[in-house]
Parts: sequence; C-alpha cells; structure tokens
Amino acid sequence: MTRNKYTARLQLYSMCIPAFILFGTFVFYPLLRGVRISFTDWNGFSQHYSFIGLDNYRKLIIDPNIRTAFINTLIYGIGSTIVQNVWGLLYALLFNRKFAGRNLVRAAVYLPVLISGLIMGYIWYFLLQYSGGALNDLLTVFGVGPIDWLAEHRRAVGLILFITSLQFVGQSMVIYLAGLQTISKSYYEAAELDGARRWSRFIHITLPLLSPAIITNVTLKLIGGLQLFDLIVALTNGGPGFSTHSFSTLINYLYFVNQNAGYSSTLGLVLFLFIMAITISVNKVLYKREVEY
Amino acid sequence: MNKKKWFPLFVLLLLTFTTIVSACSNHSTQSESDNSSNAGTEQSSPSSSPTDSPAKELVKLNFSTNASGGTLDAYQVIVDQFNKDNPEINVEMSALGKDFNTLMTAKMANNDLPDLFSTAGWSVRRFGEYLLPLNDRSWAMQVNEQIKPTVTDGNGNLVVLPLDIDISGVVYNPEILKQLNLKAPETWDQFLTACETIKKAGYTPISVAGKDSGDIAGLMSRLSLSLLVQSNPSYKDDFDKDSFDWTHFASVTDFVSNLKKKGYLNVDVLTADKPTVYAELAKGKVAFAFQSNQTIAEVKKLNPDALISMMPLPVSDANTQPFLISGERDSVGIWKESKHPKEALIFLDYLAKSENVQKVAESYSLQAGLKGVQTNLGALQETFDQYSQAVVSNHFDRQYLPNGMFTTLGTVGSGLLSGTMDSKQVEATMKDDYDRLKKAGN
Repeated sequence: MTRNKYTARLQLYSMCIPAFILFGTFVFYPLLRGVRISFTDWNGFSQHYSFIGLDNYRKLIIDPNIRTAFINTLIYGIGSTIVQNVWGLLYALLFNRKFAGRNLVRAAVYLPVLISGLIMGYIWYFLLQYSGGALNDLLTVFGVGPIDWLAEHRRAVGLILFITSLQFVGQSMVIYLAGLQTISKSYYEAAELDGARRWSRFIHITLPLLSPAIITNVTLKLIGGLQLFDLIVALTNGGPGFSTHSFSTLINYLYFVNQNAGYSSTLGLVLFLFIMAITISVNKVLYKREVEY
Repeated sequence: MNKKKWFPLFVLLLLTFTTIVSACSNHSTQSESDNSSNAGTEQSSPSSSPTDSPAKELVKLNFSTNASGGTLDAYQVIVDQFNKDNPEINVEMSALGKDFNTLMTAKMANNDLPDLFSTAGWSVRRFGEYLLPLNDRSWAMQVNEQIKPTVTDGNGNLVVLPLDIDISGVVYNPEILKQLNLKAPETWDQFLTACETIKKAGYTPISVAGKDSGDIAGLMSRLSLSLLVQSNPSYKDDFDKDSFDWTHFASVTDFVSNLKKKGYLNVDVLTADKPTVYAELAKGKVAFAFQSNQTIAEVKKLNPDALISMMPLPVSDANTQPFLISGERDSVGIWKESKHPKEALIFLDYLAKSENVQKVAESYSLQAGLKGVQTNLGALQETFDQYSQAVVSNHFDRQYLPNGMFTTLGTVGSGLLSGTMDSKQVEATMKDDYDRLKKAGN
C-alpha cells in the first residue's frame, strides 16, 4: 500500500472515532455494566453488593411473572406490528386516492403519534375507567351496566394492543404513503393492458415494490412494540397483579420498585438479546423478498 | 498529509471529548461553577462590602422533596423567605413528586445526593447511611417522643428534622355509620358485621385504589399490623430474630380474600386510582378507606362539607384496645457528604423554627414533630382529642420488614385480589423478598 493510500484510509477510519466514542460511552459501557450487575444481588442504590453467580439467570427460567411478561411482550410486539402494518397499509391505499380534505384526514390519522404514550394512556384510562369513565357512561345510557374494562387481564392486554396500534398507525401510513408514491404508474398501465385485475395488480406490483417500506415499518413497529412501556404504566401500571406487564415495565418495576437491580439487569439483558434476535431474523426474511423491477 | 484536512477532525474530536467529559462530570462541579458565576452577582449587591473584605460567595444548596400539594406550597414559602433573609445562601428546591423514589435511588447509586432532602418515611432504614447526625442541634431535644425512635438510628443518632407526625388509622364516613345505627368498629368481627350492613344499605363498605399498588400495600400493611403482631405479640420477636414463619401470613391473605369474596370492596378495586376513591368518599358513597389522613384533606378539597374522619385500627381480641399508627411523613435531612454542611445546617435550623414547623404540619392537619409547636388540626382536632390516649404503633413495614417490602405488600395484595396469586404464592413471595432485602440491607 502506498503512503498516500494508507493515510487516506487512516483518515477515513479516524472519522469514525467520534461515533465510536459516543457509542462506547452511551451504549457499550452501560451494557457491560448491566452484564456485570446481572451477576449480583445489588438492590439498586446501596454501595455494597455481592456476586451471586448465575442465580438471577436460574430464577428467570422458573419465575411465572417473567413468563407472563414474555407472552405479553410478544403480543405487544408482534401483535401491534401486524395490526399497525395491515391497518396502516389500508389507510395508505385509501388516502393515496384523490378526494376533498385528503390532507386533513391524513393529518388526523397521524396526529396521535405526536402525543406521548403516557398522555395517551391517561386519556384512555379516563375513557375506560369504571367509575365516571366516558365509555361506561355511554353504556349506561343504553341500559348496559358499567364494565371494569381493565380488570380482566386478557381484555386489558387486548386494549393495550388496540390503543398502541391506534396511536401509531399514522406512522405506518405515512411510510406506506411514501412507498406508494415511488411506484411508477407505468407498471399499473402495463398490467392493465395485460388484463390484470385490481387484486392481481396489488399482489404482483404494489406489495413487492413496497418491500423497503414494509421492512422499515416491520422493524420500527417490532422494536417499538417489544419495548412498550409508557402506555402500560398509564393504563394499568402492569396490573392487575403482574398480568399486563411487558418486559420493559417489569424491568422498571424490579429495579426501582422491588429494589432488585441485579435481577432487573438480567431481564434487561435478555430483552436486549431477544429484540436483537427477532429484528435480525425478521430483517433477513424480509430482505430476501425485496424486489426491484 | 495536508494539515488543513486534519484540523477539522481534530476540532471535532476535541468537541466530542469535551461534550462527554462535561456530560459525565458530577453535579457538584456544576454547582461550584454556578456558584462562582453567581458570586459575581453577589459582589454587586448592596449588602456586601467589596472594598473591605473579600466578597462572600453565594452558596447554592439543593433541596429535593417528595412533598406535593399544600405541603409543597408551605415549603416554597419557607424557602423563599429563607433566601430573602440569607442573601449569601440560595436554596433551590426540587419537587420530585412521584419520581422521588426513582430519582433518589439513582442518586444514591451514584453517591451524589442533594445537600438536603426529604426522607419520605425512610430516614433510618433507607437513607440512614447517607445522613449527617443532627444530635447537636438546638431543636434536637424538642423532637416529639412519639417520632424520636423512628428517626434515630442504631447508634442513637438523630438523622432528620421531623416536621410532623403522621398519625392515622382507618379513614371513615361517620355519617353512614350513624344512619345505619353503627358504632365505629373496635374489633374485626364488628368491622365485618358493619361491612355487611353497609353493603346491604347500598353503600360501598371499603374503597381501595388498586391501580396504585401503594394503596393496596397500605391495606395489607394495616391488616398485617393488627392481625399479625397486635394479635400475636410473640411474632414481634420472630421478626426481630428473622425467624418469622411466613405461613402465619395466611391470616392476612384469608382476611383480604374474604373481603373480596363477600363484596365488601369497591367493584373497581383493581383499576381505581386515588382521585376516584377521593371522589367516591366526597360523594358519601364509601364507608371505609385504609389510607392516611392525607385522604381526609383531599376529600375536603372536593367537598368541604363531606363528613369524613379517622378511627383507630380494629383488633382481633375484644380485650385489646384499638390502636393508631404513627410514622414520619415530612422529615428533612442533610447529605453527610454535602459540600456545604454549614449552610445546610443553617437552613435546617431555619426550617426547625416553630412557625415553619407549624406551616408544614398544618398543610395536611398533622401533629408537629417538635414539642411545643401547636398546630391547628382543623376538623380532625376532635378526633385526635378523642383518641389522645390510644395506643400508637409504627407502620408494620417500617417496623418489622426490611426497606423495600412495602411494594411487595402491594404486589401480593394486587395478585391476591386479581386471583393471579394464591395464598401459598403470596407467602413464598413475601419470604423471598424478606430474605433478599434483609440481606441487601445488612
């Protein structure tokens, strides 16, 4: 390698140093500290703690609350990804057509994305609460007794899934709208000339060409859904019991409420590996299906 | 190599490094730099004499509190007045509200606490190791005997200034009881009979804000105190020796399950929040709530005419007296590693002035933590007079459990009421957390 090429390459690598420093300080270092804490019985604030080997990892396997949180995390993650993608795509297809007030409708669908999850949760709590909740007041008018919507854990998990999907469907819609607008009309014209029906055009042209948008949406929604936190805190706070906790809310509970920072770090590490494994696998599958015409 | 090309890179690296270093530097450095910048302002003030002696630097003190509502307002008035009276010291109050425990946990982990902070009921067991002993203060002898043991550590050090004493029992609506010809129950049998009558009359016997696990914990803690240790004094020794057999906890879990089974709890026991319970109490629809007297103040805010009071906690044995629970509520201590202990003590002494103690204690109609300070207890004056001779016990969790188990009580209570935990699981969880937190605290 000539001296010039060597210095040019060195210069290029050195450009990465600021990024590495920041990444190392704010991601790698805390991650390594987290791994270390996961082998201790630290309560989260004391200056003293002891190493307990793999005890936290053993407990993780048999803890029924972890099992509940794991199932819920999958429901929030995979469930909301499916719902938001299907719903968002339908909205995008609908609002890609020209009609009066189109921009207003698009804005209305997107608007909840701008609200924090915590606020969204409180708004819905006031709608759903048993005593004085708007939904129950409405039901009472029709002679139906009030329902404690969030008291039954399956219904509560379903409602959390619905509300988070409703809140973020606008984001999916915008990404799909952007994707739809990059598809050249000439493909549809050619297909129409060949006699392709609407459904065929959607399956063979729209969907394959939306692959980049699908990959982006699925990745974003998966990560967001698997990390769902604020909405749960505002709506149910993980209850009744532990029944609506996700991994994220349980990590927070274990660390700051239950004073079990070691165990909380163990769970955090598992969540990190879990999200990484799912995201990489899904991306691999989806990238294989990406097409270009 | 072209020097021009390397220069921007060097600047970029320097900026990144500076950002990281300044972001990671500790609070006290920041505080000191603020102090020096503020010192300039102080020099120009009329009270200082820049020519005769070196200007005094403005000392900035951080004071973090969990206080809210009227208590926070009272603190603010005191802090503002102090800052006015002491131009060389500036107390900055941070109201951490619901995030108090989370933020203080992080600060303790980092061993970087505010100069002064509220201890939220945990002066000795949680914050004790971080607090400056205050035995030498002039007001130390004035500390009320009822609260003194709670705020004194194992070495006999007074660790906080207790501004008030939280004496509570069961919040109740005397009007409902009067209407139904019932007396304030003194035993649990009388209590259950009263609940049945109240339920039949169309009222809610007991209301619990189950969305907030702290409220369920309050119920469990009060029941544990009465059904476990008051009914079986030998259990006190068992707790002291860490040999308590957790299968005895079944008396508490059975009692709670029974309340739910018989329909004595509000229908939305698992999802109601505190404002909902306050509103129901204000409307006169609820007979009992196992909450502190703060509830009375909140209910009075919603409906000043609401008839609401406090009664002692019932007992199992008719030959035993019902009792009240006492504990610390608003207490302030000084971080032992504060950079400005002298100034922090000046502020704490100021806070200990009779009129200031009175302000804080009266904000929620509580008794003062210092002897000789009279407080107006408002509507509760009559109740306190009535029960002035009642037996007083410390909170169950603060007296017999390691720090951190209040939330465990809430979790198992919520699990029990939702049916996601049975009696055995509750006992196992209590035992596990007791052993773990006891070990962590030692």
